[in-house]
Parts: sequence; C-alpha cells; structure tokens
Amino acid sequence: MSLLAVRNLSVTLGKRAVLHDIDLSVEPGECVGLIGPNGAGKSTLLKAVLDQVPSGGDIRLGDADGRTMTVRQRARIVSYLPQEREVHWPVSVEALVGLGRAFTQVPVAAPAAADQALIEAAMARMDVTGLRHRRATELSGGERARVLIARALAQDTPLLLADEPTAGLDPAHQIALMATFSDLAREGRSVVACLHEISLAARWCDRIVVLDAGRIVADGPPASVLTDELMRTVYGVEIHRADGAEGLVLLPTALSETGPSDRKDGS
Amino acid sequence: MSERARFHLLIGVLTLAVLVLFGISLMTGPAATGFADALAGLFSDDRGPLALIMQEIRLPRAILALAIGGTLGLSGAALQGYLRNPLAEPGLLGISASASLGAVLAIYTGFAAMFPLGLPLAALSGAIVAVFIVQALAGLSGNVLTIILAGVAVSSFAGAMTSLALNLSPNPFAALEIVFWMLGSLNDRSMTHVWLSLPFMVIGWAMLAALARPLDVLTLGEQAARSIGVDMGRVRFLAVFGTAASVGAATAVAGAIGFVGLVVPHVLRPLVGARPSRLLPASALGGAALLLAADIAVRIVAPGRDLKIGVLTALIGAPFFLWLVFRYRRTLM
Repeated sequence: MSLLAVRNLSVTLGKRAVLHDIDLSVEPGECVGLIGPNGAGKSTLLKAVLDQVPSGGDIRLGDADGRTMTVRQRARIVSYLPQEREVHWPVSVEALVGLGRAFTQVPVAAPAAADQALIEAAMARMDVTGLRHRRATELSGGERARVLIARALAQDTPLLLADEPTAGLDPAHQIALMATFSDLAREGRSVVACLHEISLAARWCDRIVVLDAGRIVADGPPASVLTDELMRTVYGVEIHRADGAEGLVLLPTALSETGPSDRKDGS
Repeated sequence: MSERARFHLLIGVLTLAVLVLFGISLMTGPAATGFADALAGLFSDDRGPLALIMQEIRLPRAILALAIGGTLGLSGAALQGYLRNPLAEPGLLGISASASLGAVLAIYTGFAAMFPLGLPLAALSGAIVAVFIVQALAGLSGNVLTIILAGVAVSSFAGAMTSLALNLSPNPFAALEIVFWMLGSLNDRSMTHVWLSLPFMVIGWAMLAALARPLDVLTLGEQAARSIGVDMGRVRFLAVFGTAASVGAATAVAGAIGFVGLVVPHVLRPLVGARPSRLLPASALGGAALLLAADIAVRIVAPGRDLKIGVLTALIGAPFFLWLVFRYRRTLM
C-alpha cells in the first residue's frame, strides 16, 4: 500500500494554474528527491498534499482519504517542514523540538517518557542536543534549520515532506541530513524532499521526481532520470558527471546555449 | 532550577500575591476596620453597617478587580500568542471600543438611567455586535492580518461614533458622565455587576484556556502548526469569541482599562521561557494581581477624589512600557 498517492492533482492559485494533473505515489521505504527549477510547483505540491492550498483530484494518505481526514489524523501520518523557518517566540530548543509531540502531551506538564525519548532521538539525529537550553531565536540560520528538522522528526510519522531541508546547512550537516533521510527510508518510512542541490539528490535519493512548469516530466532512479538532456531542457545547465565509488556525482558547470531565461515560462 | 520548576514557583508566587492583594483590597476603604471585624462582617448574617460595607461594597469591588484583571492578562497573552504579535492587546479586536460605544449610547439615550443594568447590558451588546462584524469581515479562511485589520476598522468606527455621541451630547453632565465612564473604574459596583459579568468572563476564560497547546505550536507559524494538528478555524473561533466574552463583559462593568493586557504578558514572558501555554495562567494571575494593586492604590493615593483605575494603569503602564521598549532595543543591538 502506498503511503501517499495523488491522482489528477491540480492547483490553481488566483488565475494561474500551478500544478497540472499530477499523478504520484510514494511507497514505504522510499527517499524521493523532488527537484525542478524555481517556480516549478514543488512547494505547492507538498502543500496540496497537506490540503493547505485548494486543489482538485484525489489525495490518499495511507489507507485514508486525505481530503476528509481531520488535521489531527493527518498529523499522525505526515510531518512537514515548511520552507519558511518561522520561530516566533524565544522558547528553548528542547521545547521547540517537543512541539512535534504537542498533541500527545498534557499542556504545561512535562512530556511523557515515550515522548521525551522521541524528542531526544530527534535532537541527537540532527546534532542539536548540545543546543537544548539555547533560545531558538538566538541560533544561527543553519542551527535553526536543524532544530526545525528535529521538530519534524519528533513527530515520528511514516511520511516526511521536507521543503528545501538542506538550504543554509554547511556541507557536513547537508550530508548528515541526507544520510538521516536515507536511514529513515531504510526503517520503512518515506521522505519526500524538495531539493536544489542536484548532487545531493543524485547521491542520496532512491528516486528522483522532476517537476517543470507544474508537470512531472521525469520520475525514476537518479542515474536514469538525471540525463544531460534533462538538465539542459529543465534547468538550462550543462553538467559534469562522474560515477565514483560513492555513487553518481553530478555537478552543474555552465549555462546551456538556451539559458534559464529562454526556458518556457514555469513561474 | 529547571524551566518547569521555575514556572511552578512563579505560579505559586503570583497566586499568593493575588490572595494577599485580594485581602488588602477588602480592608481598604474610607471606613476604617480591624482585620477581625472586617472578616466577621464579610460572613455575618446581620445587616449591620459593617456587614453591608463588606458584602455590598468591598467584596464585589475586589471580585471584579480580580476577575477583570485576570481577563485582561489572559486575553492579552492569548491574543499575542494567536496573532504572534507582541503588540497585540485585548482592545485590538475592537471589542473594548465597541463595548464602550454601547455604554456611551446607553448614557447618551438615557437607557442607562432607566434600570441599573441598562449600561452594562448595552455595553455587552456592543461587544457582541463587534465580534460578529470582525468574524464576518475576516471571512472563513481569514488569516491573522485580516483579523487585525478588521479589528482596527471596527475599533476606529466605534471610536468615531463615541466621539459623535460626545460631540452631540445633550448637556455637559451627560458628556462628563460619558468621559468618566470611559476612564474605567471599579467604584460603586455591586454584586449584581458581578453576577452579570462573571458568567461571560468564565466562559471566555475556558475558551482562551483551550488555546494553550495550539498557541505553543503556533510558535512555528501557521503552516507548520497545521501539519502538527492545529485546526486553525477552531483556534480563531476560540480566540475571537473567548476574547469577546471575557473582555466584553469586563469592559461592560468597568469601562476600558488599558495597558494591563499589553504589559503583563510582556513582563512575564521571559519568566515562563516564552512558552505561550505557560504564559496564559501566569498572565491571568499577573493581571489579577496588578489590577487589585491598582484598585487599592487609587483608594489610598487619592481617597475621596475618585481617581479612575484606568487612568492609573495607563499612568504607570505607559512609562513602564517605554522602559521595556528601551531594554528590548538594547538587546537587539
């Protein structure tokens, strides 16, 4: 059974069609890299799955209809890392990560042992345990990003949707994060991450879904999807590739003859 | 000391402060009484002068100070959390201004003089009308900004109508009565006022208290909060109607009392680790303590002059707020 299955998903924001007839299903154990140029509709796709933007078509999460479920039911199946990294009050890092367990806890009281264990595990995975007493508003951008990912991990759902989780992270933490996603997939969970770092997507994801101008234009294993031709038509870049011991290595090197400005309008 | 232990200590200290100030409030007044006599009067069945003073004058005044202070502190904390805006205060949604307008119209038309509860009932109606207008303006999917704008619009309109009533007031006495009422006071309130306002306030408190967890989660913004399981429609309903019920009732019996709902959550936020759920009870107790203290102060500082409590809270609140801004500015640099 798919964890996530959308059929004929369409989104129109204002008068602009942002997504057209998206069919996508994600199985347990998959780490999916959702890639595509700016304005391709990646973030909108994640929000539509979460029913946070009005959309048409079918959405199934697990064995339930994604449109009729309550927010609380949805929160048990899918966790979400928004692109905007909002933290409005100077709460401690530990309290912020604990918000992933907010609805299993009694307000004001201490988290139960099982919740606390998940909070500790999430902080350890994101290497923020040492920051636990710091105010979340006083962290650096990368630290804050890791704390917010830990918050999503603490929600302990079978499916994680992450919108540009690697943005602002240093190379070590980018790799650690992608390794964590890969581990989550090996545990039988699924991760769908919007990524701009093609090299990370190629190296760590089992499957690449390419969105361009609101349509899925390619879907499959990195080696077969990320062709020179696709990079040229979708992104307008030339790439350098190498197949090393560590897997597929892709590096965008130059703009194609038809640069990104000449692309069909995707934004 | 852990953050949680500090929170429990803070709640304990604030509760103690409220109880002590409640006692002092009962002891304060032009009729000098000993503590034992006052206590006896409070529970006595005879209708002697001391029993009347304690039961009919001081007790309702102390209860109202506690309940209204609690309302202002609680709703200020809840609105700051809901709107994620440290400048939010109970008046922001237009509830206080509209309740005031209702009261002013009652004075202006003579409705207030027709029967004792005419004024608070008119004020309460004003608050109810305001909350439905705000809710209608904000629409079903209304976001935080729309609600703030709707509140500002309703506030401004109610303010303009209040000015019009003052402008056209039939005689200077009516104008004076309106102005005095708007300054906010707990003078000469009876148990009838308590029974009229307390049920609304209790309903409002219950609604705002139910916001504790959602407000914590809203620290992460609306998108993340929804994905964690916050029903934003329900949160907005509780925030808007909870504020309307409690603040509407408070304004209806005491007039507009400013700054408590703005300043108290600010002062207490650092002491509760900035967590909105913990700020709610702390801010309610803090508001109650502050208003009890202010109501004691107006009776001691200027006995017989009827210094209005709303004037005092603004007089102390505004400079204090300036100091807060000054300190905040320094931490930013």
